[in-house]
Amino acid sequence: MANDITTEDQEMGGAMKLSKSAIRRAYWDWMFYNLSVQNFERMQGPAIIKMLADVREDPYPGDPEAQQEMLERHEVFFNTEPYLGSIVPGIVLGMEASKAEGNDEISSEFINSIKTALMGPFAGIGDSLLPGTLIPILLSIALGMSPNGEVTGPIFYIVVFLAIMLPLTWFLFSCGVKAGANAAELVLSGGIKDKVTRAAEVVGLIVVGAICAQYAKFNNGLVYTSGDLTINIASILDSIFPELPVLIISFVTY
Amino acid sequence: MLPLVGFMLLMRMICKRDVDLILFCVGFALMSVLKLGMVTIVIIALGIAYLDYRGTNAAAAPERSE
Repeated sequence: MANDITTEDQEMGGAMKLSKSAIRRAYWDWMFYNLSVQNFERMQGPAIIKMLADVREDPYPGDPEAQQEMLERHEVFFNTEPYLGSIVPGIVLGMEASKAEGNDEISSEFINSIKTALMGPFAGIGDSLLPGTLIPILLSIALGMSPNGEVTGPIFYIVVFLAIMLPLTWFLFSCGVKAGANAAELVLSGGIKDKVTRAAEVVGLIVVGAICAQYAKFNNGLVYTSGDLTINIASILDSIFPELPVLIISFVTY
Repeated sequence: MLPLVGFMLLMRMICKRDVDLILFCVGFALMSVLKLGMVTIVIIALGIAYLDYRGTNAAAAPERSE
């Protein structure tokens, strides 16, 4: 049994510090708490913290300050599709583990840039595949099974949904952990650390700009009225640049 | 306005130079004006990142040779 654990740990790339049970623990944390402390400022950020907090003893045993630093790093906005996007927290976990092993070259900016760059596309793909396609199909089957309020429909839905989701998300999550752990070695071996970090930042910034335009809404109901003359200032601003106020306010906030 | 606070917390972490805010504007424009999908924007962003990578290489190469 002990041999099994060592080989499994070795298969995880460099992530020796993460035991198999810790990865499983983190996975269940992500599945249960992904949307639980959601608010507009951080969305699923608290879920990442909860996930890392439960396994914090593995990367940094008996080092509260390092644990605190790791958790503070993830206090920022994070939002993705919880099921297909489960690869992203996996990657974060893997990168944190290899950072804890002493690869100081993995900066916290690198982890956050990767996280930001990945959350957008996985949210886009995941939202169209799962809530947009799979769930309506399953629900229409389940609804057909119980026209008079039978219990078979809901049970069918729950069982089939979990039977599809649990293996899929576990597969993606463990893939993410491996990829995150290996990414460190890949980046370090090539000696291209700065350039990869820079590229991740560029992609991350553009994605944040896009998500910002997608989420933030600002209504300026500015209408200037003088006699019969009505000038809708909001529509003029829109013709210059749509959602210009949002952009300006975001710079003020920054 | 609350989402913006979260976004800007994230920006303070990623954004090292203020000039990089241009990239943020590019992403903002791609979404709000052109109304592209998220995956499309990521592909464009990868292209820009590649150009950035080549640009920094070209700038660094003459210094090395001299």
